[in-house]
Amino acid sequence: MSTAVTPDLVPNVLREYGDITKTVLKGYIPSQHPHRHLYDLLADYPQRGGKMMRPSLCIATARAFGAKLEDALNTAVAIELLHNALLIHDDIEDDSEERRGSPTLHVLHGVPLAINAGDTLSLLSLRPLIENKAKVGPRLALRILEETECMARKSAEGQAMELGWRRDNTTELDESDYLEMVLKKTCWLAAIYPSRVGAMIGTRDNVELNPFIRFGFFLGAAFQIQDDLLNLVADARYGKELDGDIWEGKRTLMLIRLFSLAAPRERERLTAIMRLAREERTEEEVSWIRALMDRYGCVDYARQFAHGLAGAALHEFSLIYRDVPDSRDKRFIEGLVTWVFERT
Amino acid sequence: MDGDPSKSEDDSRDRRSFESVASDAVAKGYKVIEEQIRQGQQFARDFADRSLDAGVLSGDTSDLIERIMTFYTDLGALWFEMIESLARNPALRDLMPNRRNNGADGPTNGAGNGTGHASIPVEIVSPVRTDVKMILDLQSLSAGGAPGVHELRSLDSAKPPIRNVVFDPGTDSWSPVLRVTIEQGQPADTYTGVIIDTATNEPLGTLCIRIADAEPRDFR
Repeated sequence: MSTAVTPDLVPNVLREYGDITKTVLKGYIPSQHPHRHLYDLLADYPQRGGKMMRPSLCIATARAFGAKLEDALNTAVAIELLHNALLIHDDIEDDSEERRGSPTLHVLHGVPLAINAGDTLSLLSLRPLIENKAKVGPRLALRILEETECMARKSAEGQAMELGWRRDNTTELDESDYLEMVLKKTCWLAAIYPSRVGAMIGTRDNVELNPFIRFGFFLGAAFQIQDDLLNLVADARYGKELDGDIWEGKRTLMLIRLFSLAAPRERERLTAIMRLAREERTEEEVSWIRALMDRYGCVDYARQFAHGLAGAALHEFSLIYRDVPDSRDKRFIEGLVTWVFERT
Repeated sequence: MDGDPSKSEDDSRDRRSFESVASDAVAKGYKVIEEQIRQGQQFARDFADRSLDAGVLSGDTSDLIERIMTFYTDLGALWFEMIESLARNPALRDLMPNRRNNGADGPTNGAGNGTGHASIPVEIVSPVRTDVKMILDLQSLSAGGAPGVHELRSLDSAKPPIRNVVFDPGTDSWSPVLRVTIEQGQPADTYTGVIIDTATNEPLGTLCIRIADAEPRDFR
C-alpha cells in the first residue's frame, strides 16, 4: 500500500476539487426571479463552504481509475447539490440553529421557504446527472442515475430510522442498530455513492462495486462518529452548536452507550429528558447528560470505536486499490481515512 | 449522581475492556454491512424479476423493446439504429427467456437464432449526427471468443481513423454493447472496419460508421 500521504495532501486536494466543484455548481443555480424567496436561498449553503469531501472523493476515485476530471465533474456537482438540499431539510427536522457557523436557513427565512429551497436544490441535482450523457455516454449516465436513486432511498431510510427513534423516544438500541442507521443516513451519500460512481466512471462500469460499499461504510461511519464527537468537544471552528446533538435528542453512539451503562435511576431520568421536545430541555439537563457521558467513558469509547472502523476502512482500501497504480488521487483516498480524525 | 461509575467499570458482565472496543466495532461493522449487501442483492434480484415479468406478461416483447427505444431516444445523444434492428430480429424472442434464467448469457451467443445474425445494442457518443451499419455473424464465433474491431478507416487516408470502438461484454441485462466514441473534430466521412473473432482473428463481419457533416446537436 502507498504510504506517501503527506499532511497537506488531503486538505490540498479537498480545496482543489472543492473549488472546481463549487465553480461549476454555481452555474446550475438559476440567476433569475424569484431571487429573494428561492434562488438566493439555494446559493446560501454552498457558499458557506463545507469540507467538500463527497465531491472530492468522487473525482479522486474516478481519476484513480483512469478517468479525466471532467468526466466526474457533473456527478460531483450533483452530489454537492443534493448534499446541501438534504442539509436544509435535516436542519428543519432536527430544529438545528447553526450550520457552518451561521444561522440555519429556516432560522433565517422560515420553515416554508426553507423546505421549498431544499426541494428545489434536490431537483436541481438531477440536471448535471442528465447532462452526464454527453460526457460519459447515455448508458453510464443511466447507471449513475440508478445509483443516485438507490443512494437517495437509503439516505431517506436512515433519516427515517433516526427521526423515528427520536419521535418514539426509543432507548433500547444497540450498536448494530446505530451502525445500520449510520450506514443508511450518512455513509451512502458521504462515501459509498461517491466511491461507487467514481469507480464506475473510471472503469466505464467495469468494476465489482460491493467492495466500495464496505470501504464507504467504514469510512463514513468513522466520519459520522467523529462528527458526533466534535459536537461534544469541538471549538468555535466546528460551525455547529456545541452539544447540539444532546439538545436535539440524537441517538449518537455516545448516547446509546450511556443508556447501556447508566444506573436504573439515571436511565429513567435520561429517558424522561429525551422524551421532552428540544425547547423543553434545560441547560442543566443537557449538562447533566454531557457530564454523565464523561463519567461513563462514553466519549473515549466512541473514539476507540471509530478508530476500529477506520482500521477496517484502510483494510478495504488496500483490497480495492491493490492493483491500481499509485497516484495522488489514490493517496488522497487513503489519506481521507486518517483525515477524518484530524479535521476540526 | 445516582449510580456509581467506578463500581460499574468493575462489572465485567456489563463493560468490555477498551482494548477490545476497536475489534468489536470492526466485527459489528462487518456483520451489518454484509447483511446490507445481502439484502441489496435480494432487492436487485426481486426488482429484475418484476421488470422482466412486466415485459413478458404483455405477451409481445416488441412492446418492451419499443418502450426501451423510446426511453433511450428521450435520453438523447444516441442513434439506436441497431436497437431498431434488435426489435426486428426474431432472435430477441429467444433471448429474453434466456436472460431471465441466466444473467450471464448475452445476446451475442445467438441462441435460437436461425438467421445466423444477431443484434447488439450500439451506444454512440458523438458531437454530430452519426449512423451505424453493422453486419455480424455471431454463429461463427469460436468458443471463448469475443467480437473485436481494431479501428475504422476512411478511404481518404488523410483523415484520422476512429479508434474508440469497443465491444463491451457488459454487466447488466442489455449486455453486450458496441460502444463508439467520436471525438470532436472527427471529419465527416464513412469509416469502415472488419469485426474479428479476437480468439482466432477470423472475420465475423463489418462495421460501418457514417459521420454526417452537420451542426453540433444540443441534446437538452
